[in-house]
Amino acid sequence: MSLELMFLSVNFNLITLGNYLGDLTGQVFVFFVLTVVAAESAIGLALLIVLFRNKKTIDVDDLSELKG
Amino acid sequence: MNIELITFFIFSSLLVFTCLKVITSSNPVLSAVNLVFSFFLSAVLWLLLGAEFLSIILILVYVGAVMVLFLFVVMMLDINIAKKSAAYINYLPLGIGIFLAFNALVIFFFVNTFENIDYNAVKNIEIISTSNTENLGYLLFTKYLVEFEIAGLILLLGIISAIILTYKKNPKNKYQNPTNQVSVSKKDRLKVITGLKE
Repeated sequence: MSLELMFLSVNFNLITLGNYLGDLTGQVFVFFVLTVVAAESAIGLALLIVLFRNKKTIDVDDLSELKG
Repeated sequence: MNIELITFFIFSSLLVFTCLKVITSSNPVLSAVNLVFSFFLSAVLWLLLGAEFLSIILILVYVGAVMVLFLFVVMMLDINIAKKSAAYINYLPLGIGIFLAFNALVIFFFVNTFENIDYNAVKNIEIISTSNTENLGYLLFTKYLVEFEIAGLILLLGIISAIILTYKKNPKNKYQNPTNQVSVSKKDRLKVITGLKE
């Protein structure tokens, strides 16, 4: 979720600077960033679901089978 | 003090507060709902900057699909409420130091580059007509066509991998496998028993 915030800030920067410099390339790039973020969120959440299926918890501290 | 300035101040201050609530709230559902609210607020700010198509796409695609996916997964998984005494208080001085350094970098960059700019630069972004959507469409289909097709391939990749990762065959389902049915031979099905006594 903090990753979504970071992507939002990057998109904000692109649109603002595109507006200041009179170029529409910023908005085109935001279009592609939104595409990549949607695909990456879907895959990340699918991984989270598979992890929960196998471990019954998504606490990072419980993933310590290789420890020691 | 026109309406644009008032709108900008209201929505940007609300946006800062909402984003702070995203990272500091202990309930993950509250965090996700605050993120949805921050997307709505930033869509309004993008509308002020003249990016009409992208603000609507933000609400329809980003909030309507990605954040709904997030909320489904957050509500489906058993996420414990974070404990109050999380250890991030120890990192607060380092965090504030990095935050101030980054702010100084950004302010230095903005002050030195944009001293003599035309603040009404929206009228320079008219390529084919006055509508933002038509301009974006013109650019996407002529100048950035390869990247557009690659974006479509990335979405296809997302679909395929999300389905394959979470696909679970129901073991109680009875289904036919025509390949196995056709490739059967006589010795698999027929067994001749000799020497049976009456």
